[in-house]
Amino acid sequence: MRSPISWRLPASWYVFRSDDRLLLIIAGAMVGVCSGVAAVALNQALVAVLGWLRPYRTEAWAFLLPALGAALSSLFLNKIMREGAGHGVPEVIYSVSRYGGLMRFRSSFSRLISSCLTIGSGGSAGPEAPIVMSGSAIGSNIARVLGLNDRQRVALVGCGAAGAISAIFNAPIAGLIFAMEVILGEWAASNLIPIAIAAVAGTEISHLLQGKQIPFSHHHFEIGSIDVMACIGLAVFTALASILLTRSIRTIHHKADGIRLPAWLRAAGGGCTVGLIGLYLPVVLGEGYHAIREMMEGQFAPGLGLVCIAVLAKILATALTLGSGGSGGIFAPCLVIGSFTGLAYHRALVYLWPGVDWVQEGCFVLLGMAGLISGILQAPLTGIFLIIEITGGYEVILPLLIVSAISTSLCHYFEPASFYLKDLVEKGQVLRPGTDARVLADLEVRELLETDCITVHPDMLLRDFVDIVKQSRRNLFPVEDRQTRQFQGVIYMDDIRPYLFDPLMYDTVLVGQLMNARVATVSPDDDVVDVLERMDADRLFNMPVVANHRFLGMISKSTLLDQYRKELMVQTYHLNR
Amino acid sequence: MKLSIDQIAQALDLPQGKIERWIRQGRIPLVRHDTICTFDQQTLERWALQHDLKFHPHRKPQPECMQADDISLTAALRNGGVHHGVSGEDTDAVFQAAVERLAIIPALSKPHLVQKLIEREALTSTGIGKGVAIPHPREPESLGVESPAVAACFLEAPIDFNALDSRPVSVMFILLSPSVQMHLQLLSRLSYCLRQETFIAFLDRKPDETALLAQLSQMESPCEPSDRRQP
Repeated sequence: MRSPISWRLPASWYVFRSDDRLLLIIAGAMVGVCSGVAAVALNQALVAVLGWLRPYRTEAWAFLLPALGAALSSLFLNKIMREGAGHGVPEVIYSVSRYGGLMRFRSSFSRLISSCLTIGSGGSAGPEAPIVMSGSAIGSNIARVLGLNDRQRVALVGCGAAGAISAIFNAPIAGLIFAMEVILGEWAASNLIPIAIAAVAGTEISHLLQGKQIPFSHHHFEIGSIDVMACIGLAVFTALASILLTRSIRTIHHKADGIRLPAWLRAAGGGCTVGLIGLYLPVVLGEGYHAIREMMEGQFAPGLGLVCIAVLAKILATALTLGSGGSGGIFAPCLVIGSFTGLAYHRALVYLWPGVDWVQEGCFVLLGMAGLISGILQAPLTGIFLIIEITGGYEVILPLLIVSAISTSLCHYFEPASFYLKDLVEKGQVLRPGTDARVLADLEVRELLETDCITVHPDMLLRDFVDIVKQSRRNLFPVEDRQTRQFQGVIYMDDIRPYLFDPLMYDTVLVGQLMNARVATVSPDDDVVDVLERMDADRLFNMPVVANHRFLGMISKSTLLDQYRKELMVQTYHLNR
Repeated sequence: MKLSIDQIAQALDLPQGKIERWIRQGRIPLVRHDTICTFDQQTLERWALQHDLKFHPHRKPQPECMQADDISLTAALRNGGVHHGVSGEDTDAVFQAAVERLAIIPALSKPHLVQKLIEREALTSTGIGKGVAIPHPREPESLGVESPAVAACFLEAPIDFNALDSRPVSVMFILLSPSVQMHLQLLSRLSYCLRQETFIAFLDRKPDETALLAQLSQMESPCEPSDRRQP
């Protein structure tokens, strides 16, 4: 006997059919726990790898370690996992916007291993993006097992990202905001709740597994109004650093792509250079949380000049690691560069105006981090909430808002798309919900077909054709060959109106003589965006859709508007509620 | 409630591909098992209302072309059938008896159809003279018939229909069509036939189905559609 309930697909259970919130909350908690575990796993693995390699750091050949790590990680990703390199986050955004959040199962662990190799060996990259990608892939695969649809799957992908960020930084709100602002790009209430649950679950699992061990401890700062004013200047510098980082990663990436060497050799070359920089400035190696911690405590010894060099060196090291094909994210390097920038700025202020009672160094370190995150990700809310949660105090909120807002706006001026979206924007693949591009991308030519045209044959007399005109509601008639049924052209009523009322021509003119054989046609697989562009370019209102020389129907702007509107309403209803 | 995807596409008046995509993307409250969708009718109706769509589970597909000449009276009569010896004292009873014999109307809809016919009859008589009546419902599309049908009913005894020429009616043509347009076309064809005295005389002989169909197709042949193909 068949079971009345299909256990495999909870999405079709009666309780969840009309309202899936409960289902999403439960699944969101599961995803949050899993991505929290992934975060803890990578964190512990990094600690272990760094521990094993510490004795060798002092050797003369230590600069080869990052090269070896980067080469192994590149080989692992390209040959074993067969996935392209990359930070991870753009891949997640791409899958959300183009494939309804579909991700491969192997993505849920491949980046963890490869980034562990890159970062553990000393490459300058962050573990956040790989964990976000793992969490998202876990969410996507849990959604697949549960038989969920695209909307629910996307929510679970967001849950995975939120759980990952929450677990790493012990910052559930930052995780939630990151998922909404960066990954999903929409603020829908239906997504908010499961993502919040996942963020809490991720944080809790991280507490449970590794105690309340958090990257940065809380501090109390006395911030005066002069510090707030000084933040404006800091924002300019963080914006500059953001633009520099974005551009150098992309430049090196393009340069490295041009080199005719196997991918793993290029990665090794990049890693080798990073190792050489690390010989002189060990602070640029690895994810760099240790340095941030020192700077926040005010225990970072090197002077102003060295800190300024460290900013540039870290930018270069990050660009080399990621640009040459190493695996990892830019989140942690951003934080490090931000804290160096903040520290340098503070030291410069103290140097220039020693008499002023400036706030402690740690505060500007925090602000610098917020400025870099906001600038690179162009996600000011993520930057603000991450820093608030890391510091655990609201006294920094005023300067934080100023730095984040100004840094984001300045970066936006020079780099219109955020670092994560840049490649996707260039390929035209950023399809944020509720936008024109998204609606047009979802519409298909097949959905827009109008099949109410009457087909005529080229050897038909005008007299017969006039009979057909009488019955038709359309003012155009596709012409196809009587035998082969191949599409030959279109008769537009406007072209033939003069002959229609001339009975003398009825028995002398054939349809084939009246038709317009040079009509631009559309294939049913064409992109609606392209079709619209062609219509606009040629000022057309209708185009025949033809496949394999057979006429399928017409596509017209009026049907397009009709379907576009329906699509828009369905896609944005939940946003406007 | 369960419907197939193409039925849902018809009910919402949307392309089938769009419905399939919306189900996949989770934009429409339907659960799909292969081609059958399970859903809660109220939820779907509310959803449709919220999105400015209309959900009519019994909407028929729009005729893709003006199928003006494609509706032949012969085909419609074949759908409706020829019924002899329909009995009844008055119009209501005759309608009742006639509708009982209509095979194309589901049993559940029969009282509804009778009601509609009586309502229409109350408006003005459908007795058009010469002993012929053409009862029909006012809103033909509300019945949900799929193809046009004409039922020829020869009454057991002529009854008073309050006809134009006050002659009692001995034969009824019940017209049922999926749309007003088709109804008008059927009516125009039927009236063309009824204008011919020979046809009236032929009807008075109460011909059987084969004879009537043959006669109609012979009368219709000049206006059969010529070589024309629908896309």
